[in-house]
Amino acid sequence: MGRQNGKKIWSIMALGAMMAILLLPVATSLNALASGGGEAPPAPAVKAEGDKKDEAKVEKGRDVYYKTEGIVAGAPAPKTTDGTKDYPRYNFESRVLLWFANQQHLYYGSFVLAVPIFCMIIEFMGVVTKDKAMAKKYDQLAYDFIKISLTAYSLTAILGGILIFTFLTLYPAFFGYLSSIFRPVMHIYALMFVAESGTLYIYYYGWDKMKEGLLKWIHLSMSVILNVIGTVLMMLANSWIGFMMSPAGVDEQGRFLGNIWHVIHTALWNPLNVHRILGNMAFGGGVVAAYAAYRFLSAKTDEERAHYDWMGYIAMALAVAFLIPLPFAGYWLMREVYAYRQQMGITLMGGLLAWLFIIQATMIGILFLSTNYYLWQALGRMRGAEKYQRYIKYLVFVLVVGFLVFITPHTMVMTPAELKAMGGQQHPVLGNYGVMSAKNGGINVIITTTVLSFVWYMRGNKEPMVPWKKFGNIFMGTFFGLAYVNIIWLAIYGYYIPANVRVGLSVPQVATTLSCLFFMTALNGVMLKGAKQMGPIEWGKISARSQYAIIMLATAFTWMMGLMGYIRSSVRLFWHVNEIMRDNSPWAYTHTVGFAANMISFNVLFFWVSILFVFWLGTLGAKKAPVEAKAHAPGRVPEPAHGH
Amino acid sequence: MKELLVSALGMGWGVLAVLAGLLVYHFTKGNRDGAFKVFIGMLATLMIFMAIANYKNNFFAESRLLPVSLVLITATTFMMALYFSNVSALLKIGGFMFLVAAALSGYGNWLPQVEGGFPPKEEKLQFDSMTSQQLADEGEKIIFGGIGQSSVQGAIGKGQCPLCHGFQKGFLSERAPNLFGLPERAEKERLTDPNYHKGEPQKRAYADKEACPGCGTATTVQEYIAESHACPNCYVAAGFGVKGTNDKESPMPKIHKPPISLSLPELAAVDTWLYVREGKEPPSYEDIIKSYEKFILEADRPKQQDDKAAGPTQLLADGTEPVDQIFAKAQCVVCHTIPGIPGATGTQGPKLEEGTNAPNRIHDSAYKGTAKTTPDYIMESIVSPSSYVVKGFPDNLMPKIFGQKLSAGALKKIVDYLSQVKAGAPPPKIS
Amino acid sequence: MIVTNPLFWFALLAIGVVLLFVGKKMDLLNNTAYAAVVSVVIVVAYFHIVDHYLMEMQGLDYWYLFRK
Repeated sequence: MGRQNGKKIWSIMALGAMMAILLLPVATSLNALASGGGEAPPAPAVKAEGDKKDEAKVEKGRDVYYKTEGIVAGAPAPKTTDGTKDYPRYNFESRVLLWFANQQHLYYGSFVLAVPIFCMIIEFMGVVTKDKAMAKKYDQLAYDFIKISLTAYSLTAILGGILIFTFLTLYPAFFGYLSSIFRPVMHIYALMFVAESGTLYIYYYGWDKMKEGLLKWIHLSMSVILNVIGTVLMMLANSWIGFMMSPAGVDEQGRFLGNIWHVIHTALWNPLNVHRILGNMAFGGGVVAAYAAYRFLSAKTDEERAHYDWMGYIAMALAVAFLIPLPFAGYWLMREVYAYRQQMGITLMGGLLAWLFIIQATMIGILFLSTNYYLWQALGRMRGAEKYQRYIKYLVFVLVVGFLVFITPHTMVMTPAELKAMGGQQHPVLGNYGVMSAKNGGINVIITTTVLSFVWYMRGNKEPMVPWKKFGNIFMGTFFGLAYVNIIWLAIYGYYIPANVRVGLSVPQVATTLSCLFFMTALNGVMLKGAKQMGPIEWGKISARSQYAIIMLATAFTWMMGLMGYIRSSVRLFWHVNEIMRDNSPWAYTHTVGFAANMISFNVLFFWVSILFVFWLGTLGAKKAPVEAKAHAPGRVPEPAHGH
Repeated sequence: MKELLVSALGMGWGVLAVLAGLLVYHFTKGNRDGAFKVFIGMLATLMIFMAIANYKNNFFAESRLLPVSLVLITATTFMMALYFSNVSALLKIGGFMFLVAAALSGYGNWLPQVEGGFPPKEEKLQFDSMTSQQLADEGEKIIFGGIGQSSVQGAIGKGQCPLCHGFQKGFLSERAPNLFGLPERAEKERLTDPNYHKGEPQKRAYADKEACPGCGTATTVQEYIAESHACPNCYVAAGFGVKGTNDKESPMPKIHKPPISLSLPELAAVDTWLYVREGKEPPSYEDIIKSYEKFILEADRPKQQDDKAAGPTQLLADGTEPVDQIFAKAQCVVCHTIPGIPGATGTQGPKLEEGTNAPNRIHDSAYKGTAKTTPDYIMESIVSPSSYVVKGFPDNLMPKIFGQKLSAGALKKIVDYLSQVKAGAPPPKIS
Repeated sequence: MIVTNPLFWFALLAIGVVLLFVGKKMDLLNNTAYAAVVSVVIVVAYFHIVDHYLMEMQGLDYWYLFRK
């Protein structure tokens, strides 16, 4: 026991030391922030000399956002002119090249940041699960996840290099300005990146060595550290785009005022962080699910099929779990945008970019439809779920009606001339009074139906045994039925009451949906306690079509991410840095919706073709060791860490 | 189609030639299966190159045919997936993704296409070094919101002058004098008007005697214009005073004061336009500035701002202000009497007791609008004033721009307030 | 009108819950009609309370149309 304790203390100390080293950059940067923010400190002697000379003209500037005064510590934002000096170019639109480089880096980066979070969750589940076989299964799954992300990790780094190279080549003045503003934290960024790589490799290669007892816990804590570093990295990267959209910490001419925290902590930084973390997770889940779908479809044996069916299910569940809070984070971001600049919000929701939000609404609908479709197909792998099959057609009907209502724009499609005259597809001011209540009804019907599908899926192969099951079933039916009634009633009611009351109706509508989500899944859980199993879930006995639903989900999610990123970026219109540095390149206009859609498609397909290629390479490696592949089949409890 | 084929062959002939070689090789070996696969491969290659050619032709073009490429690729991959079973899953998944992307792209292209125009040219406005024509153009922008907008009814810029003044001969101008022919009129009528009391400000009978203590009166045309901008109450053209003051007070705000706050250089631009558009030689920039310096004390001169949000998108009120300020900023008070709003004593338009009036108007047989409730009626009256014109008041007097110039929040506040105003009842609280 | 008073719906909810317990005591819950009635009472009351209070939270009146 004493020996055990000694080991424990050593491990904890080692872990502490590791953490301290890894967090050192943050600590040092905080220090620098406290002392008024790392103006590159010149040697004291030189500074003193400088002071003497400049004492008379220490220039002060006022922060454009925080309104504090600070000593000017940087050059003003360069005024660019159209020409090859500020905007060197190939015989192609520079902006599109940068768009491409940025988007690819972002896709891979998101994936690489998201997967360790899943690993953490799944590894933790494996550690706490009492069922030994299940624990092994989870552990293997987490290992599989990190294996996928490791290949993508190096690709992310390469793409990051390409991004910087593209940026530097095509927009030297802009890049120069941004990097001069962020100079005080650049070294932290680099150090964090090194720390991330180090931790990731230790985490991956240490998996085998650290699989028992306390060492496993340390391994698990390492995944926490890995994620902390990853998140800080992402937040630093976000500070760049936050600064570009809602600059702070500089004066009106864009001169740095010495406080780097202001530059980082801009108006939109935190909403962006939260939105991106959630988005990354949903995206990462989608990619892993697609990987599982690929392996499922190309599987040769039943064991393989079973394993990848299960993997896809878990990844998909994680993706959807993070998809649900995403709109709320989006709402917060949007509200902050409106608070920061009303005009920016109007451009987004009611002006130039409004059609893109119509596309987004469609995408949300598609995501939910595919989720439902997957759940229905998943009923097929359970014995006893047949009783629900015949009701599915009604759900389809409800979903389709809800979807159609949801995507109907509340203004007519107009000719470009009419559009121009109106300055957007909606009246710039009255558009806000458009009847949203019907649309809200549509989307809430869709989500409620998804909840219903999920409840059916949960009880697919089970028969409740509680004495009050009859009442439970009737109550559940009544609750769902009246929830639909309430949602639709509120949607119709909205037409009869004035706009200022109507806007409030969406809240009880959402509350109705959430009531279904929480109460009904909880009630279902209680009812299924000690339920009779009609048969085990037969993993792998799912139709191939279900896997296409997963792929649809993953593709649609990737597309939506590209779309929202485009919207976020293009809302700056003709500014490099909003209201500080103008875009004077020949590409300062906003593209048409169609061009954007084509570009997004191209980016999405490039990402998927490249990552499918990576997956395929992975299977080539596995084929060389068919014996091992067999040993990996679930049920046989695989030994981890042979495949690399 | 033919062109597409030609350009596809132009790009892909090399690969196709290699494949053809392979085909011949398989034939000579008698390997029928292999030959067939190569043939499929050739077909697929051709289709892929057609897709690429289509992409290339349409990348920047207006035509919306780009998604066709994606569908072509989808068809290709599915065809290949049929015959190349070892990578079939990969091809099918890839193909399916292309199909999804094609659908989404197609959807994006099917929607109405709006391209955001180029940004307004950035120029640090250096009013003092402009030619008088440039200066006049800037003036037109300030008054009407854009060059060439002066002949458009309802065009309005940050100066907001056309809210009350007409500028073209024959344009409606009941709230304030039509400014057509102003330079001439100033010299021949205004300065010589006995009520103007040129040189003897103490004798004036108006609400203000002088723009500032000791400023005196105007002696030249330009000084007259400057004085009118800086001190509307120093002289009121007969018939244009605030109703009930016997033309002693003007409804016009001091232009250099908030909410309009034009700077001196901007005023110079405005004035220059007034001369130039009538073909008259304007005074020099310096002279105009001097004329304003005579009437506006140094401390009262607004600094020239960077007109970031200037132009037609600028809002008069964003809805964060209390409702009385919204009424003031939107200049409603100039023409309407609104119970409970200080300064709202205008008589050009009806008294706004909409809690009482609106229900009656909606049921008026002459009412052609679509509103069914009081708030809807008020909103309609603000956004499209001509839907219903109250008897005894002229149509087209009220500007039709408030729908664009007020934020949704501001409109809502106005509607909320006005719908609570009832005849004979105490006015509602200002919020 | 009494329906515009949230207390009415709270009372209804309470009645529903009481009925639920009574039914449990008397083994009535497996009677379809009884179960349906109890469910409807509880759920209708619940949704009205949700609608009412979530509108009131925003300073709005859910019963706007009925009060006129």
